[in-house]
Amino acid sequence: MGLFFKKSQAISAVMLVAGFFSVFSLTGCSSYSVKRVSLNTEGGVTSRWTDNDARLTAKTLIRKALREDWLANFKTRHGRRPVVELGQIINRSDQHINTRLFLNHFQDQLLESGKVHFVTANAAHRSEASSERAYQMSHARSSTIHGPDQQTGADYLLTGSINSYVARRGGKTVRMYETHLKAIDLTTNEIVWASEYRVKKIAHQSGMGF
Amino acid sequence: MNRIVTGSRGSGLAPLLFLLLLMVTSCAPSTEQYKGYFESLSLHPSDGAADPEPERIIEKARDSYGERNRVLYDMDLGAAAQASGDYRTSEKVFRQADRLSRLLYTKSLTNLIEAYQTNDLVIPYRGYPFERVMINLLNSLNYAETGDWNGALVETRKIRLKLQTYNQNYPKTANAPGKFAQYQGQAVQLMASHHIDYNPSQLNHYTDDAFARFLSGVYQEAQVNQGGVNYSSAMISYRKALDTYAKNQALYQVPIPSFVVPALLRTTEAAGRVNLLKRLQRTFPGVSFIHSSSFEQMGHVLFIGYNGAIFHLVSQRFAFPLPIANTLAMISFSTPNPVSGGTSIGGHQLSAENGAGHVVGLVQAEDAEPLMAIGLTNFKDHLKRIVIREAVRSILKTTEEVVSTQVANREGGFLAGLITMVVGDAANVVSDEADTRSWRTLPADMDYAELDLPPGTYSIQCSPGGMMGPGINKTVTLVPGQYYLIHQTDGR
Repeated sequence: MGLFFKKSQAISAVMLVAGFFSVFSLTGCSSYSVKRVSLNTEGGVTSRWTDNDARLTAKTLIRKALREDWLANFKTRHGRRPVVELGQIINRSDQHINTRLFLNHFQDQLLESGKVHFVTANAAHRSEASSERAYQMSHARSSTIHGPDQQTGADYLLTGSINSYVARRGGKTVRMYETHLKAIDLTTNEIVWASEYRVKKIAHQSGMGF
Repeated sequence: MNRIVTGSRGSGLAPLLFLLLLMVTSCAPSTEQYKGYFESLSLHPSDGAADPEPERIIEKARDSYGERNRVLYDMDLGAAAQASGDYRTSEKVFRQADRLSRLLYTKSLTNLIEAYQTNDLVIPYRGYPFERVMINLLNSLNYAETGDWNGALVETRKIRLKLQTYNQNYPKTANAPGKFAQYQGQAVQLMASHHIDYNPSQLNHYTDDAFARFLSGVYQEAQVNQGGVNYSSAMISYRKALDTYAKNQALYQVPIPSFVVPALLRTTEAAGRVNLLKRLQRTFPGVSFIHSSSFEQMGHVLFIGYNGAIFHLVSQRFAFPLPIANTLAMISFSTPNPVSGGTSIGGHQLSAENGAGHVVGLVQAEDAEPLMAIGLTNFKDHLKRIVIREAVRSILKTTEEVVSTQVANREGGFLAGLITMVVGDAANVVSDEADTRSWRTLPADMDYAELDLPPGTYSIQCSPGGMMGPGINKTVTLVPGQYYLIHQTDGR
């Protein structure tokens, strides 16, 4: 009798625990965390490229671009600010990244610095402007016409790429985004400035949660 | 004493009543929508033009999926939206499915406990590995359809990473790891006695996806003219595709598509790999290819066909006697069994007519992704784990029932024992349901063809092989370096 009592108590205990956990199952959740770490940090990594990463990268590269001599050298040589054109940043990462947003941010900051002029490299903008000039040629007062052959040519082309390196094992992911930017002299094809910035991220997702 | 007896009765009935309660939430989602979905796509194969019907059918069934099958719903809706030409929705939904599936890497302990008392249907559906890869493969076509070749390329990169991770989890070893390794002998015996086809060494066969690799090369070539990617990257993708197709040939008995080697030769030449090109030409004598200088000046019409329907899973029940607590108990459990699926379409023929009505290009589409074979193999790679899990669960549940019945019988008398046994049996029978969830809106296979044409305006026709019925007729104007994708979903 005592033996059966113990058995039934044990079963009750097991079922109680099962019931307890089943209550939690209604609110079952997973465990996921991400932290941004210094480049020297060893081990795991990453999560996705976020707007914070884009801002951080743009800010750092702008600081580097403004700090170095290529803009000042141009001004010394030519007595004016250089005219820059935005090329494209090629996304070679494994994430969908809107590189245009990143470049626009970069362009805005450089313009605000007052150290460069920008001309548009956007085909749609150029086409629209060209149509407008054609319209002005036909319809605008002659004193106000902006005709063809008066556009400003760029001195430098800004271009670059975003690469990502990923290592993943179990729930741990280590991902590094490496953004390269360079300014190409359109007269000589010389790379007059180049810089890179890396974002390394570690993400850890536990295999088991409640 | 009375209190002890009362407690014992409670201990016998309470767990079984608890099981009955859990059963309510452990049912498979409805499958009614699939019939209408494939009927619609059989009558009106979709060529990407706006036809809201397939998407509407899946959307209408949303509530029947339930929160635990959210990934499955997103997979179905993504495929249906793509068939309906709603690429934006399809892309958004696939992205969501991909994210949710990744989050489900974390297994909920409470869900697992609940599953051991009922069945796997209480666990949120994450998808078989090949299904998780297909999320990205199909999604890459959403980007390609809208001309975003870089976006399409990103999706194929995700596939590479996903398969790397998958292969880490299921290593290619002869000695199967796993929590239930000690039960494997019994599982193998059981499957052998019931003639269940499974992967005996639990190797992982789905190590790479050939079509994804090939498309990765196409997406890269599509960007070469824009300066985004160089030919070396495309060449590497085609090489990997060729290696994987060679492996598929042995594994699934499907021939290597004839479009792979010319693409590899072309990009190898374009990448300046002279010695490699010579080696490849010795390996593949007589294979002609368009030189990259000419290829760059051409426009390219790509065709991808989704044909038929992939297999689906049904529940298959097994029973065997096992002595438990001095009683010979009957253990019964159910496992998923793949049935049906396939296609009646024997490829497609793609042709181009110029303005004068002359046929200037004609090509046969070839099987590029034998999804039925890939899916079945991938399923069988998992079958031993599934059988072991189901058998262990069934033994646990039957043990609980037998012990509870014995306790109730001794403590509460014959009637209490009988009630406990009946309730326990009912609970076990009702909750004994195999996890038959799978991504059923996938096609049985995908075929691919490419027409490389000089710049100009063409009438492109595409008709299914060996079938009567609607084909595709489109007028396309091609400029040098342009890639134009035609995509058809046919339920037949």
